[in-house]
Amino acid sequence: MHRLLRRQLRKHLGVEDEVPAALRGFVAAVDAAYADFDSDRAMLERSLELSSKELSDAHEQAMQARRRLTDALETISEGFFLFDVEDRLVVCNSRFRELYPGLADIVVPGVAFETILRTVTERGILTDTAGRTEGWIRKRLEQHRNPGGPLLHHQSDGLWIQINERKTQDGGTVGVYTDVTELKKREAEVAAARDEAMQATQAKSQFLASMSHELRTPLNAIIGYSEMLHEEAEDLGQDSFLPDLQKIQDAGKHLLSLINNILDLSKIEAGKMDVLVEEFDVPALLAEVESVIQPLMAKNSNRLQVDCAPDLGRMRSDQTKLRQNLFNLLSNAAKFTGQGQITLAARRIMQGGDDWVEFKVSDTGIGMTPEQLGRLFEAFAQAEASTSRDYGGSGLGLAITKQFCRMLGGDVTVESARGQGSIFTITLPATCPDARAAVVEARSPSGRADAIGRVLVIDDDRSAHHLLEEELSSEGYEVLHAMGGREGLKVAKEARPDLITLDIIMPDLDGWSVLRTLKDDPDLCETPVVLVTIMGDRDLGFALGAADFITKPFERERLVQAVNRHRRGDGAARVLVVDDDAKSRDVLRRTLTKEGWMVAEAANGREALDQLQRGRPVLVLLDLMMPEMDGFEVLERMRRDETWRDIPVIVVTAKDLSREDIDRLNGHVTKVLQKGTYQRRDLVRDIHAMMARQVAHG
Amino acid sequence: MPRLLYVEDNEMNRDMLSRRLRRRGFEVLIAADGEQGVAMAAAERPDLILMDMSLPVLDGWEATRRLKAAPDTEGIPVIGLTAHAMATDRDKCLEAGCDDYDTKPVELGRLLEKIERLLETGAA
Repeated sequence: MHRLLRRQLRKHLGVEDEVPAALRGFVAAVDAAYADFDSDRAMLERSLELSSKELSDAHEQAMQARRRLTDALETISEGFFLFDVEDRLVVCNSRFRELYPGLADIVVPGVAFETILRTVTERGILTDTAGRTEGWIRKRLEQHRNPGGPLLHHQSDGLWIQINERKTQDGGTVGVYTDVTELKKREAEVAAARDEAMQATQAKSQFLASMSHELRTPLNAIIGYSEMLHEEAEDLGQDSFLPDLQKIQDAGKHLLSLINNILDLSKIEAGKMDVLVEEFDVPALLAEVESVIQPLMAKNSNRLQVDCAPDLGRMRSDQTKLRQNLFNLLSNAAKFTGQGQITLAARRIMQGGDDWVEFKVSDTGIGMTPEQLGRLFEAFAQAEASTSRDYGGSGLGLAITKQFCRMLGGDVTVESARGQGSIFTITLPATCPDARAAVVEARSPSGRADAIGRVLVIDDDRSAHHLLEEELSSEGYEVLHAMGGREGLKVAKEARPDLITLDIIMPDLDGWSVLRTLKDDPDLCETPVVLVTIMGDRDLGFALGAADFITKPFERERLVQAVNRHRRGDGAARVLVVDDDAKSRDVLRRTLTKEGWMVAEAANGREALDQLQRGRPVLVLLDLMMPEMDGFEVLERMRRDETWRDIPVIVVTAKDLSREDIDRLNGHVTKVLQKGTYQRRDLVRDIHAMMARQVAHG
Repeated sequence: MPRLLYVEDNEMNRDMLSRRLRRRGFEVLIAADGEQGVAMAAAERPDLILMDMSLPVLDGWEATRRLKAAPDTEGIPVIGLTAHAMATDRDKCLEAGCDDYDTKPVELGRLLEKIERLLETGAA
């Protein structure tokens, strides 16, 4: 029996071992209940033990994980915090606390981010929050809640802190705070060094510029006075003074050229050497160079010969630099040649589709060895140390020449052999590439003082410009150039040429539109225009054999009138409609068929010619601007063919020309030139004639 | 004897060129700045003016412009003397009204040619 039961029986019923018969059943039941209860309780206790253990284990694991995390957070060198979705601090590391010692007392788990911000402003922890507290707090909160890029804070204790915040998956915010004070310091140092370097360069340039003047002034005095004394001594018959005075003068000139060279090289090195591009006459430049260099030639009894190719003409480059280069080469040749022959030969050459001008200076002097050739164009490395002593010079001239040639888009090369003389060749593009050039256009009203007229060439094709330039400038015309329609209109307006040559097919603005604009402008409408197209025929004037003109969008009545005018007799008459725009063709077709015409269609010039082959129409309605083959060409072809020559053509154009426009154009556009085969005489004659007409009318 | 007015601020340049021109038979008047130059030109009516472009008080371009704008001096030919040989300086000279220009340092022969030519033909 269960002991508890036994006790209770004894206590309450006085029963010891003998249970009264009447109670036996009852006692047995209660005993069983107690037993059950006991075993249940044992089971419960056991299961509680197990749970307890699990819990304890889990807790231990959690603690371990937490310790590990904390350990990691404490190890990183950046400050770290985590705020929960309600913006309360979950955890931060000691580094963070170190960065903000002024916040130590409030940075505890559970604190609101905003509270921290307020404390920051109250305690003046950041440098720029004073006076705009609310604004700053609001902004910072916004950045905290919607983190973007890194923030940079400057603390009152001098530290620079970079802050990177990110949102976690459950809506909290992590922040990483990095001390970038060192980095900022280095940045500042680099910036300071750079500024210093720039200032130094600036100072150097200014120094050079003023030195240039300072150095040259006393030298001019030395050269000038010695020249004068030379003259006076000569006059007074004091010949004994002359050689000494000459020596002073020579030394002075030598020094001057050295200074000029050094200053030039410094300028080039500092990137301050500019290129001034202008058009000039090459033979004239060569003549100038020849006359100036003569005395130097005579010194060593050398003979100078200048060979100018007849087609030299003009070029667009830096005239001053070219002149300096030629002087340099020629004076070198004169220096290293004695009683010999020096030749300056210039010619135009085509290389790879481009125009070049070549200047060759050859001499019969001492020549150079391969070793000397190797270092020739380096600054300060004259062929030999003794060269300077024996022959003069500074070793800078050729270095400058090389640089100048490069700046003008060309180069200088040399061929030489010891005892056999040297040949220096400068090759420059006839038109200096624009890269760094400041283009100087002589657009002043005076322009070329001696030009008999001014012609503006509007064309997108370089070779056309070159051709016209050659032809016209050698006749005394001043030629201006524009590479496209828009530029052409601008130049025409500014420079008021006496005549304009105009290419029809141009990419940006077609010749037709340019023509129209020119004629609309009261300042320019009187200027004669010469139309240029790929196919040309002497007789293709603006009338172009066109019998009539209609502008699009056309009036039905106008069209019908025009068309009926050309009807011959009765019977179905055939019209060929040529237009690249399908809608236009459609409208025309419908209008014509209504009038009883039969209509054939073509979408471009080529198709038009096909159609013409198939059957001779009575009339052609022709659009001018079409792809593949334009209206001009179609007309051209028709004029040349016997069977088609007499077919009347009505030009239908989208350009809204009025009758007056056409009349005006008629008078002024009289010639079309064929590109590529200009007959020089004819071209010039035509232009002369047009100019004469202008003068007569003007 | 033709009378030249030479306007130049640098003393040595003035000395050198005036002496050499005098030895060539010219009478040479001197002005040391642009303002003096304009005043002397009006007072003395020289046959030709040599004008240095960089002058104090009034620069050579402005002085030339003024001379060319005044009826009693516009007929006097002016040769501008410039230290630079670049096209822009050349154009600037001509645009200011110079009848011709020359570069410094002066080469006497070349300058004399220009002087002779302008004395013969007169101002443009």
